[in-house]
Amino acid sequence: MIETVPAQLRYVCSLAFGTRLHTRSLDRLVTALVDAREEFGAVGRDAAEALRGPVLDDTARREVQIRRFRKQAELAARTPYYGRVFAELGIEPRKLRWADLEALPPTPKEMLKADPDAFVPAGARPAFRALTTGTTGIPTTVYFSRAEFEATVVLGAISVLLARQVEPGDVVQLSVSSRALFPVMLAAQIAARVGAVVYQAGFVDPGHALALLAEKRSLPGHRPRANVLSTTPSYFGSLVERGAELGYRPRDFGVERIVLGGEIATQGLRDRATRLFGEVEYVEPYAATEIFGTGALTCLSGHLHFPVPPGLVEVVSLDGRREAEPGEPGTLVVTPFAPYRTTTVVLRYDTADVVRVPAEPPTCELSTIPATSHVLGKLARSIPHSGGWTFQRDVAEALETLEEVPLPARFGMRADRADGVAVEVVAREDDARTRRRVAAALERSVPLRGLRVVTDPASLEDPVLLRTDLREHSFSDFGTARLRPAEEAVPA
Amino acid sequence: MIAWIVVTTLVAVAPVAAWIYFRRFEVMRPPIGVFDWHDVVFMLVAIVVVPVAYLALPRAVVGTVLCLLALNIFWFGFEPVLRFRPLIWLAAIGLVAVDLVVSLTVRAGASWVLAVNDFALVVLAVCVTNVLVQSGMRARDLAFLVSGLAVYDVIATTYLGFMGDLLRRLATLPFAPLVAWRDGGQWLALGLGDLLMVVLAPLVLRKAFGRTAGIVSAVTSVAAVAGMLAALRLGWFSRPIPAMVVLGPLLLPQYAWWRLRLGPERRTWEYLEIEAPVRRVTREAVESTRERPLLRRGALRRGTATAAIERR
Repeated sequence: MIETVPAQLRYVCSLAFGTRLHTRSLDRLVTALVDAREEFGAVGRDAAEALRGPVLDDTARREVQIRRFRKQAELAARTPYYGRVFAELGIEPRKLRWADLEALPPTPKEMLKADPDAFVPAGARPAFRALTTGTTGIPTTVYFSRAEFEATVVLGAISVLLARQVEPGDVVQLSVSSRALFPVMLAAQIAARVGAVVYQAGFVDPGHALALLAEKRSLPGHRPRANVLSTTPSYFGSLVERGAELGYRPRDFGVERIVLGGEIATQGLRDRATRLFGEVEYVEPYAATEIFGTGALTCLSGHLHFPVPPGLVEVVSLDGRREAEPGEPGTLVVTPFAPYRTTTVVLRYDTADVVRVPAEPPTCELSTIPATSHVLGKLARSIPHSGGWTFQRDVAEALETLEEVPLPARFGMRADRADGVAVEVVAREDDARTRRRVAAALERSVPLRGLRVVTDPASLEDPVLLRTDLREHSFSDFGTARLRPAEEAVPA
Repeated sequence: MIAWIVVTTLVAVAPVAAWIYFRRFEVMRPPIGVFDWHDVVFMLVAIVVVPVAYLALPRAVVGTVLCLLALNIFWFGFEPVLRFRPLIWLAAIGLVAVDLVVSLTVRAGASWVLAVNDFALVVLAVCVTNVLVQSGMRARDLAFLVSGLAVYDVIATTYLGFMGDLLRRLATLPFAPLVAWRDGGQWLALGLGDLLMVVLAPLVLRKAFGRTAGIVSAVTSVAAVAGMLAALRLGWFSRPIPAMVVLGPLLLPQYAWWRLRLGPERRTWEYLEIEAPVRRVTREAVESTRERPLLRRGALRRGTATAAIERR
C-alpha cells in the first residue's frame, strides 16, 4: 500500500508536466491493483478516480489542455512536417493560444500516409513501425519507441483492470488480424501482465476460431475455456454466422466478455450473438493506431468518453470549419499528448471518424469525462442529403437486425438524387419478402431512394470494406494437411 | 487491585469492541493496493524512528501531533458509523477536545484524566486495527510485525530503558499512549502499542482462519496481559515488562498452527463470502445514506461487503 504512494505521485507528475512515464512506477500500480483484486475480489471504484485524476471544470480543463498542447507543439516543431507548418503559419509553439490552435489546420490521414517519417521529431528513438490494416487503402505508418511500448503495456494493464475487461485467471482469445502486429503485441503483453493467458488466433476460418473458443483446457488458476474474446465486429459476425451453421450453442463456450473494436458494432449483431454465446458482457473501446494512447472508454449509456490527460479530442463539424454544436455530428480530431506519444507526433489529427456531440450533458457513470456518441462511420462513406446525413451505422444497425441478412452485413451505399440514399445489400434470398423486410428496416432510419438486394457478395458494386475479409489461411484451408485429432498416431 | 481490574477490563473490552466493529462496519480503505510487507517494514521503521522524534521535539509539538493523528484516526473510524460529515467531525473533534481540555486543565494523574484518556485510547485502538485489517492485512504480515516488535521491545524497553523515558515524557500529554490507572499511589499501565497488538491479532486471525482462531487469539492475548499486569502489581518485576516478548511468542505458534491445519489463509473476499456478516454497513450503504438529508436517513440497509457485491 505504502509503496504505491510514490508511484502515484510520479504518475501524476508525468501527467502534469508531460515528462516521461516511469514504467517501473506504473508497473507497481499494476501490481497493487492485481493485489487489491486478489484480496478484495474486485478493484474499488475509487481506484479509477484516483488514477484518472481530479474532475476538472471546463475552464480548468481548457487551461490544462492548452498547456499540454503547447508542450506537444514544441515537440512537433522538431518534426519536418510541423516545422514547415508552423513556419508557414507563423505560429510560435511556446506562445500558442486557443485561437492559434483552432487556426491550425487538422492533419489529414493522407499526409501521415504519404510521409510518416516527417512526423518523427529529431531525437526520437523509433523502434517499432506499426502499419494499420486499414479498410481505407494503403496502410498508414506510425512509429513507436520501446519506452512508449513499455509504458503503453502498463497503462493498458491499469486500464483493463479498472474496466474489468481482462482479469487474472482469464483466458483471452485474440481474433484480430495478425498483420496488426503492434496492437497484437500490446494486447498480448497487457493480458499477460494482468495475469491472464492470451493467444492470437488471427482471422482464420471462423470454424477454426470457434473450435478454439470451445476447446477445454486445464491450466491451473485459469478458466477452463477462453472467457474473453477480442475481435472486430465483422469477424464476430462471421463467427456468429458460422457458429449457427455448425450448430454451436451457448453451453459449448465459456465466453463472458467480448471486446469489439475497429469497426461499427451494432445492437442487431449483439442480439443475434446471444443465440451462440448467451448473455455476455460487451466492451467497445475506441482506439486507432494513429492516435494510440488517446482511446475512449464506453459507458453503459453507449457514449465514448475520452479521458483528458492523454490528449485533446475535438469534434469538428463535418464541413471542417468549426467545433460541432451539441447534437451535431462531426469528425474526431485528436492530438495525443506526451508522455503518451513522443515518437510519431501528430497535432489535430483528423481521424475521419464521425461521431455526434451529445445533445444534453451526459448523466451516465462517466459523466465527468468528456463524451461523444459511438462512431457513426467514416466521413468518406457518409452521405449528405436534403434531410441531413446518413451514416454507415444507420444502415448497418438496420440491416444486422434482420435474419434475412447474413452476418456481417455486407452492403454498399451512395447518394441517390439530392434527397436520399440508395443501398445495395447481400441477403440470403433475393425474393419479394426479403426486399420488403429490408426496405422496411432501412426506411426507419434512412431516406431510402433505391434498394438492390443480391445474394453474392461479389455482386456488390461499391461495398463497405470489412476486416473479416483480411482472412488468414492455414494449411488445412489449402487441403495440404488436415487437422489431426490428438489421439491419432503420427506416422514416422 | 482496582487498577488491575480497570486496566484488564479495558484491555478485554477493546478486542470485543473491535470485533463487533469489524463485523458491522466497512471502513474506507485506500483506493489502490493492499496492506502488505512493505507496510510492515514501514511500520517497523516508524516504530523505531517516531519515539526518537517524540523525545527530541518540544512537548507542545508532540502533543499537537498526537492530537492531529487521533483526529485523523477518529474521523476514519467514525465515518461508517455516523456517515453524515458534520456528525463525524463533531464526534472526532469532540473526543479530541475533551481529551485535550481534561489533560490541560485537570491535575496530571487525576482519575478524570486517566478515564478520558483510557476511553479515547480504546476507541483509537478499535479504529486503527479495523483500518489495518480491512486494508487487507494478512496473518503472515502480522507474524512478521510481531516478530519485529518483540525484538524491538526487548532492546527498547529492557536494554535501553528507552520506552520508560518516552512514556514518562508523554504521560502528561493528551493522548498519552498508556492505558493506565492509579491505585494507592501506584500506577499500572499498558502501552498503546501492546494494546494495538492485543486488538489487532484476533481480527486478522478471524479474517484469515475463522472465528475460532480469532477467539483463541483474543483470549490468550488478554489473559497474557492480565497475567503480566498481575505480576507487576504483585511486585514480581521491578522494571517495565516488554509485553511484546510475551505476546509475540504467543501469536507465532497460533499462526503456524492455523496455517498448517487450515492451509493458506483466507482473503477478505473469501472471509466475506464464507462468513457474510448480517446487517453489515457497506461502503455502498454509507455513500447512499450520506446523500440523503440527516433527518431522513432512515435505518441502515442490510448488505454484505462491497467487494462481494462487485464480484457478483
